[in-house]
Amino acid sequence: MFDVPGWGGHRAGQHVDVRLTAPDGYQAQRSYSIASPPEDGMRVALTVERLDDGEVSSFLVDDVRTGDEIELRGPIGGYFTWDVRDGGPLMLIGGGSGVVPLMAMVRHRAAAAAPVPARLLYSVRAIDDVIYHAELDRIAAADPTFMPTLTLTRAQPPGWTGLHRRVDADMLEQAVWPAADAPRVFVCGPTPFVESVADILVQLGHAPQHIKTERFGPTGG
Amino acid sequence: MGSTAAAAGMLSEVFVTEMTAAPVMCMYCGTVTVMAEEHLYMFPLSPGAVLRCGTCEEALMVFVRHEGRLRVGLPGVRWLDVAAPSGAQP
Repeated sequence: MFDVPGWGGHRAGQHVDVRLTAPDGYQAQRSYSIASPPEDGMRVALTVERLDDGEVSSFLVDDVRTGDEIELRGPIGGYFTWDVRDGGPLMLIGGGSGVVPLMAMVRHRAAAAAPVPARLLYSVRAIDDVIYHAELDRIAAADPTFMPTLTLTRAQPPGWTGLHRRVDADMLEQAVWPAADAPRVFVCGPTPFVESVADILVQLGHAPQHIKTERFGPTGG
Repeated sequence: MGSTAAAAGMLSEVFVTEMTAAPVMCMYCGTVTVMAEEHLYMFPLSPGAVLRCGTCEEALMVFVRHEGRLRVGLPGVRWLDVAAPSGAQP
């Protein structure tokens, strides 16, 4: 969570570039999606997945302390954004850490109390990889027009009755509104995941211009 | 392949206006799509960075850093459509 004096606001789905400078001048820069909604004002929240060999992520997760300063550039992105005024129905499809910018949209929708029907299809390897789990359940419990669905692709806890396979055409056909309803679709995660989902949605008849994609690169980190 | 965010960051260093939503026409295959849908390849896949057409994979833009400067090639861009900067007519 960063307080950014002079932050001019952002749209859900945008990201920032974080730059760290070591005492010897060495710099490393990475992009992180903004997890907080625009309603949070000058406070910008990032959700960071710690990668074992991550230069920036390991610092942000292990070493950053309250009061530390970092360099931040943004908000960046004029394409993969959603505002309640854009309407819906809103279909969010996330793989792994790809859920972060989608969560900004979920939080924005909740903060704005917008009656736009919304669904989230969230694919992760195992239950412990689910980010924002309690918050998603809480929002869904309070709002029947928001429906999150998980699919656990590698391991399931005992008694799991939910989906337990990778996202495929059958799953998307079930989970996504039909093309005739013209949902606004946002897909985010590792590049192969995003491209596969987008291709299937086009085959299912969704208009390409209603499908917006954010690729997180080969590994999704 | 690089990420959409990395491409957006690189483009923001070169272009004044927000580029991810800007339509671009590929010189080779004629596909028109927004910049965010094109494919970015960075080191170690390529020296510097190459933005390739998402449809035909030909090189649209090439970015190479040298001696503190950035050389931008636009070999595959037939046109780019950006928000008009406000101000006087050319």
